[in-house]
Amino acid sequence: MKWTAIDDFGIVINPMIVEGQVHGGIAQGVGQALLEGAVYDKHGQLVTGSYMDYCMPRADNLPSFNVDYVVTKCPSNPLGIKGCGEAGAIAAPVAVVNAITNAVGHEDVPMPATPQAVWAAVQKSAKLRKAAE
Amino acid sequence: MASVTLTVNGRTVSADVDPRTLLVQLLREHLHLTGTHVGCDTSQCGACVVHVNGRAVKSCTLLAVQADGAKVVTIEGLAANGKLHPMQEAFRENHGLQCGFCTPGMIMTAVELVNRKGNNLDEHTIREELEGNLCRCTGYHNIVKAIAAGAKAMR
Ligand code: FES
Ligand code: FES
Repeated sequence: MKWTAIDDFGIVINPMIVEGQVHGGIAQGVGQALLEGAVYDKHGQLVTGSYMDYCMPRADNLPSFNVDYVVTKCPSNPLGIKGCGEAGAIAAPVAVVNAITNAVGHEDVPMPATPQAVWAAVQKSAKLRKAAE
Repeated sequence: MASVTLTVNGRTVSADVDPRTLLVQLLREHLHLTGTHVGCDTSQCGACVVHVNGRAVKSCTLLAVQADGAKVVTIEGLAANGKLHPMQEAFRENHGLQCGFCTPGMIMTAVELVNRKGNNLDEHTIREELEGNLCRCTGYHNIVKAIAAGAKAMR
């Protein structure tokens, strides 16, 4: 799998740290899209309060990332810089979920798109196809 | 109370502990070696990894009394003569950490991985072997890079 992310951070002072922020953000976004769900029971009790129940991405759930940027100087501060903290988290869930909706052929896919949720979405596309025939 | 005697970073230490004391509590609270972290207490995150007789072990999941007589190495025991261990140096060089909470466990896991699987580690192997170490900040990208570089430097 190949992952490429491009963003505009204005003038980049320390590329190493900026890229690190993007890597971490992408991983958070992928986690949000596929694995991480805070679940409450009907009494309001959080039932995903430990890593036994709340799935954070592991190293083997992710590829390496190809990160690049364009530079448009920010006009509203003297350094021309923009924020980059966890920037990857903005587009990553969208990219992952768009890939899934594209593959299943409809948009009824919940987040996190766990294997069970994707399986249900695939069943629904089969039904939709049948109904259309 | 139970008495335990073990070697920690080359030093023999003895302590009288409540039998339910975890190894990580002995290290952090009795010996004040706070480089070993507790991220979850449920064997998931790997922040507490130390070496027990050369094996990477989650110290939140071992009783101190089980380590009686063992040789324990913590993150504090890696650097020698004021010089960082090659794996620590590789994490520094490759920006393999952000908040640093997972880092002691990552490095202890990585060093044992190299001892077990050698100095030429491909990305796939490193990622699979990191299954037991969680990181919230780095997306693992630079950790994987750091471990590959550190493994080579450990030759
Ligand atoms: S604190 Fe030991 S695995 Fe998380
Ligand atoms: S660097 Fe923050 S958890 Fe890994």
